[in-house]
Amino acid sequence: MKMKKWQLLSCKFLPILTAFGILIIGAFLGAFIESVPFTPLLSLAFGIAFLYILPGYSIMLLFDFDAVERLIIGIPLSIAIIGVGNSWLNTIFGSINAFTSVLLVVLCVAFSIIWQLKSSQSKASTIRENEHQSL
Amino acid sequence: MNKSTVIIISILVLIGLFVRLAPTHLNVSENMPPVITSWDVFWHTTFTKWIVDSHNSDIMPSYKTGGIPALSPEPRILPINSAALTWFTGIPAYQTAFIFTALMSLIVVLLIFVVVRRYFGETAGIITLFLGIVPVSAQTWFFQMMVGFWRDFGAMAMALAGIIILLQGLEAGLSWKHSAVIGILFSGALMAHAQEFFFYAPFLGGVVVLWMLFKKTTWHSLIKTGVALLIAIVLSINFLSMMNTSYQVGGSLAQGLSTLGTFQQMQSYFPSPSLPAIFTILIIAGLGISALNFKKLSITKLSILALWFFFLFVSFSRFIGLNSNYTTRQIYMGYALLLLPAVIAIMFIISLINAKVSKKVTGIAIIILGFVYVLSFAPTSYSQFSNLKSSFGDKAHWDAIIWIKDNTPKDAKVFALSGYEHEFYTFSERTVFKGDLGLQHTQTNIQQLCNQQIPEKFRGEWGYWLYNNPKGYAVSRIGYSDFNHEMISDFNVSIENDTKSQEPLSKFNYVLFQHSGEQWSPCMQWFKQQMINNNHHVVYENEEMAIVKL
Repeated sequence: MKMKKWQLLSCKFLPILTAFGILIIGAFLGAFIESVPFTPLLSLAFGIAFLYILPGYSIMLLFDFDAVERLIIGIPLSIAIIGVGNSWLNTIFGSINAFTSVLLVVLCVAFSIIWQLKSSQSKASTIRENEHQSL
Repeated sequence: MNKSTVIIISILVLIGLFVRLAPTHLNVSENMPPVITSWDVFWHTTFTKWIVDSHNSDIMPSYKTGGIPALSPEPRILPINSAALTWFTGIPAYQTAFIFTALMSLIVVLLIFVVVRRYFGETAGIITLFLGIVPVSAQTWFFQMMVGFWRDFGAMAMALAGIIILLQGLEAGLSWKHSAVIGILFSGALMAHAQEFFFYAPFLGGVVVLWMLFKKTTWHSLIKTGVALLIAIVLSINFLSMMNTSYQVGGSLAQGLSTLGTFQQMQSYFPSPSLPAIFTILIIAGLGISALNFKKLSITKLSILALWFFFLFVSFSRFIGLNSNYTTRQIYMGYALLLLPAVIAIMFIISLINAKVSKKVTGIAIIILGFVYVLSFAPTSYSQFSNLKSSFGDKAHWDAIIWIKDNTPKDAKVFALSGYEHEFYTFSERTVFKGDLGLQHTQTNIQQLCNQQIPEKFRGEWGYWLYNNPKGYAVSRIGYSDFNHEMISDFNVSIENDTKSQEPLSKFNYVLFQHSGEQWSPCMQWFKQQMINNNHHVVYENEEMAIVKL
């Protein structure tokens, strides 16, 4: 059971870690080939992963796509979420900042986790009901 | 998916990032733009900077509207994103805006990769990614980045992502979850570029209608797709209502049509588009006809047909006079989609080779041909990149811009007598009357100075840009759907295609000009001396630029 959980976790987190790894390698190469300071490139890699990959990828976990598709389709979805969300927050509260973007990312991740937990619980109860009926 | 595929995709993505960003000699620590770009990139960059500084994406920078606090009908999704990246990383907005544009360019290619991989297989997908990323393709994309079509990139990326989710939903059973996410994506596309988005509507309609006809899909799918569009409109309503209002400011809807007409003037932005466009349309037409002959009905066939309809619509829009510029623009924006015929041709050749020789020999031949392909085009691409780079980043110009920003009141009016059109008004963050050494109105000014005459009124262009607004009006929101329209007092259109004005020097606080390094320098030296003789002070001077306080 523990193995299954770990497999499930790695299945969901490995793609996003791989994407972050590619960005880190990109930052290294940028610093090495273009002589650009590494620290801002590293923060850039982290910023891109956090803002443009994480929220969309979290939502894409709710759909039946493979890891590469989730990652790639998740990027424009993140951009839409950050953009549309901030635009409305701007209209409602009069200003936006780093916090509003972080809030939107956290909300997306939280929503995705809650939805997945809910759907896995309902799946489990359906299986139990079926097992009970078969008995 | 095996490890080698992941590694190939990762390497191609890294090459894509490198090809797009390395030629700009991006320096993430510098607070100045990395390369020469055109008006669009300058505006996106400055709008990002404005959002970063003001924490407000709804209103225009005051120096863009003559001091009036006006709403911005600018597509704001993309500058909001690059502003968020700026806040998050601390990297200057001038850099993040450009990095974001490069990312968007790459994302569109990656999305086409997803479509091709999903419906044509892994090999076809990787060939698509390769073709979209290697220099010859990147050169075309780079041109768009230079011109600054990031709102087009954004609209296309979000619309494509929505269409992919819609296709998957139609295959697996469209749910309300699909509708919600497609709605968010389409609202993003609408707010990235509303006009652009509506050009994807035939593609979207084609997919759904074909699916209904051939797959006997229930009406629920159509309703759920409709709900997705409704969600998109509701999420964008705050922005779209303002755009409609801005169209009406001039008193008639005809203003909107004339705004569309102005895009036709931008035709000169595109390097010789006619032949490739015609060639491409012929290929797409042939592909569509061949798709009709497929024996087995499949999603691949439906996608190709929908793609065909999309391009037919866009292509014929030229002949019905809908918007000729957008036809060409779509051909360029749809460039990644056009990789598909090339990929099919390559796959066909591979299958022919495979039939004759072993797979191993085919693989080696493909790798060798790939290298030849890259090496053949790389020098041309990089020479174009380096030419682009040399045009902006003149330190003397930049120092003058910084001086204005740091040493003049925020409401100062600056006349850029012999500047280049965009840089001073965009980056100085002041109300600027623009000159452009490449345009007739500035050359007329300079000719008069060369004749040792100071014009009674100088010709130039107010550095206002109210996207989709009739020139010279600012719009502010009184209530949710109530707007106030105010004429910008300085806006005095009087000459040449309704964008230029004639203004006396007394209207300005500062005049900025290039006094050395060009053939007209003696004329500018004379002008400078006349200003000094008239008791004005040269408040800033470097080896090229001078600023006189009036």
